[in-house]
Amino acid sequence: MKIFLCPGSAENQKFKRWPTSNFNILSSFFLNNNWEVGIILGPDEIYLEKYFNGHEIIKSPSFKKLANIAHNSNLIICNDSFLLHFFSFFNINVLGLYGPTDPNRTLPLNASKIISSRFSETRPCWGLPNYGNCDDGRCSCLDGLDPKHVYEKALAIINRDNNNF
Amino acid sequence: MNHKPIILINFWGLGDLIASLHIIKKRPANHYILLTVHESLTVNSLISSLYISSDVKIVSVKNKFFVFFVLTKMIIKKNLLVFTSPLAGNSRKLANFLSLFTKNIILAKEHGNIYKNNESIIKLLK
Repeated sequence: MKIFLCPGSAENQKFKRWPTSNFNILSSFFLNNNWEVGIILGPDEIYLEKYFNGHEIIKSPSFKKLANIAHNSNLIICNDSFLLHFFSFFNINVLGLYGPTDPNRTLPLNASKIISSRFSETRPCWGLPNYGNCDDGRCSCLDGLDPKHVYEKALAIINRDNNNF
Repeated sequence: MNHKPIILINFWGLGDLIASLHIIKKRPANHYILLTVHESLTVNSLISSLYISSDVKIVSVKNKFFVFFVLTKMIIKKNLLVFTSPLAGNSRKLANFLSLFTKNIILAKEHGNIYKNNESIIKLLK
């Protein structure tokens, strides 16, 4: 089984990024169960490489390369970012991680989602003056997203897929 | 099939642009002109990687005056203008303004899921 994790998002929307430490914990769950895990980093996200020691890292792939990845993966997990939209176009298993933004607005119709459980009166904040910086200049919406829960959601997606065959 | 190109307009990020490309995917036989803020080369490469083989011309618009010029020209030529979802802020204001001058215009809903909004547009296109 092959899974890809996409820990980035646009540089001016870093607040959409689930912490790299959480991606690492999530990755360890998969690796402990003999999954292959790849990390995809866009051109503006290469500096995140240092947080993923020991992983297969695909840096700044072309769109063609991304399309190839789409066809060779069992599941791709992304923040609410370009890659969430890109991979969902191929009707493959994609899981979107949502914190400050609203899946009711941006989630591709064939993608799955998991939403942070942290309560915030200002969430979702898209279109509001405090977009991305409501908590002392830092977005804390993704703090309520636990790697264990993301892992369980990922397994549910894969098992659903297997049961359909 | 429409012989006159349909003008798809999306001034948002590359991710949001993919929601607009679903329209082309679902109605591949039409000719399209896609107005975007991104470089033509980038968008052409993106379209190719998504296995979209429709006739799509990319017009990269970087400033307001050029946008206005291009859209005015399209209105005079009676092309169908489709402001795709997401459509909010200044883009929506522009779309609302232009809708005063032409009936050949479709505006995506402002609220709700951007993909569902574009599905509604797909139903309006042949």
